[in-house]
Amino acid sequence: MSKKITIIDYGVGNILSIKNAISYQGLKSVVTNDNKIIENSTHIILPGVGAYPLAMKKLKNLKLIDSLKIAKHNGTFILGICLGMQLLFSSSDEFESTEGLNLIEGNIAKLDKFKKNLNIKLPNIGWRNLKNNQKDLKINILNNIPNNSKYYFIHSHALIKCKKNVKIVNSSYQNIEFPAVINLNNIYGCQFHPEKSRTQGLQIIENFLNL
Amino acid sequence: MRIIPRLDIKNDNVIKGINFEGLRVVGNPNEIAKKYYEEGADELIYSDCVASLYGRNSLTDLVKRAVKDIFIPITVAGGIRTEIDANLLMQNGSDKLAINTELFNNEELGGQLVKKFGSQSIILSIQAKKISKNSWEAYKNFGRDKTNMDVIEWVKKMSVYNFGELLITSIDADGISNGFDVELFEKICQNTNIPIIACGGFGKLDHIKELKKYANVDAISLSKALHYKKITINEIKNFLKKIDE
Repeated sequence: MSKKITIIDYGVGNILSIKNAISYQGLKSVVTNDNKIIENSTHIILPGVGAYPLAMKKLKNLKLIDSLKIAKHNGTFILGICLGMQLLFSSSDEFESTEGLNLIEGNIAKLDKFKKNLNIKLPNIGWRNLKNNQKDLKINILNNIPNNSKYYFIHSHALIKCKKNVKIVNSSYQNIEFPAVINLNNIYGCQFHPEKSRTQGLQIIENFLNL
Repeated sequence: MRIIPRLDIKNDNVIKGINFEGLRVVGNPNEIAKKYYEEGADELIYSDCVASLYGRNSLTDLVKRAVKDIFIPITVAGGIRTEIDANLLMQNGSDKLAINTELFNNEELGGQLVKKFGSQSIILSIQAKKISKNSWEAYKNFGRDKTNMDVIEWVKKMSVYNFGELLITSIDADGISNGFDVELFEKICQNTNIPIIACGGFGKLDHIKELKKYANVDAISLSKALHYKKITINEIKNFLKKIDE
């Protein structure tokens, strides 16, 4: 079966850079919010920057929530990037408690809630390593990448709690550890921006598209 | 600490001046950007230095071309006056926008853009000119015009809009290669908890050491020393590793 790669267009995020990262591998992608195309994709990338409540509102208005649930059920590979990863989970406390797509059970919180009495600079901006202490939980989109590679993060929120069956590779910022890459079955997420993380980021996108 | 080369653009050329004046052509933006990307830049800043004067930003095509094969974050500064300007740049590959001049006509623009694109995409840019000891005035139009606004007051006033970063350029130090205005950054760090990009004055590695001693800045942006090959990004990064140990 030939690949049908879809980038979800719901009016947030730097979609062009994701499209370019895919073209760079010689592959074609469609940028769309058309339900039928989304539901018939083999690979979906859910981008996202900005605020959680607004992003969910836009997905809802475009009737994309059900399409993404159908895609998950069909076994389509889905990759959420940055806010797109956070949207995959059940809820976030950004501004107000907001329901997410709930493709995976879990909750998003601001990084300063990860430990008590934290006074940290947010957003967390910069190039950070992944912790490679979870060898038994290898996530396949991280294959063929040197261990100490750095990725570009820019975010204030992260996944604080989820079920044990979710595979997680952490990163850290000022002694707070938080999930940087997650995977459950056909659903993947990167808290950083692979499309802005040089060759190592492009390799993640290539690995995902090769699933 | 992130290292962010800044490309000042005029008429499709990278230019560089001293104290924002006396501009000289340095070269082709695409070639220069690609070179800094390959040398290990953490991000790039494109600044349209005549945009505010002409009332438009002309960098859309340049950025669109750049992001085809440059996979690091790109910030665009200069002449962003409306949500429409911002949207056009974001749709064509910009990751972040830095806003200065228009905020003095329309403060609300900051809040509007943050709401639409998120804090992480919108940078408050300030061009600071020293008035007296511990006092700086914010300038607009690429450092050409006074605003009668104290820099620290401005940082405090703007904090309600939740900008994701501050890009602070010292007009006095820019292009002189004589070191950062350390007092300026020290003062700003005492007054905000937002990540800071320090710009203007880099001449040699010890200038970074001096800056770090007094101010907890998150990034430095530089242009002249790189354009004229006084230093490479790699040399700066190796130096940072050494002083962090």
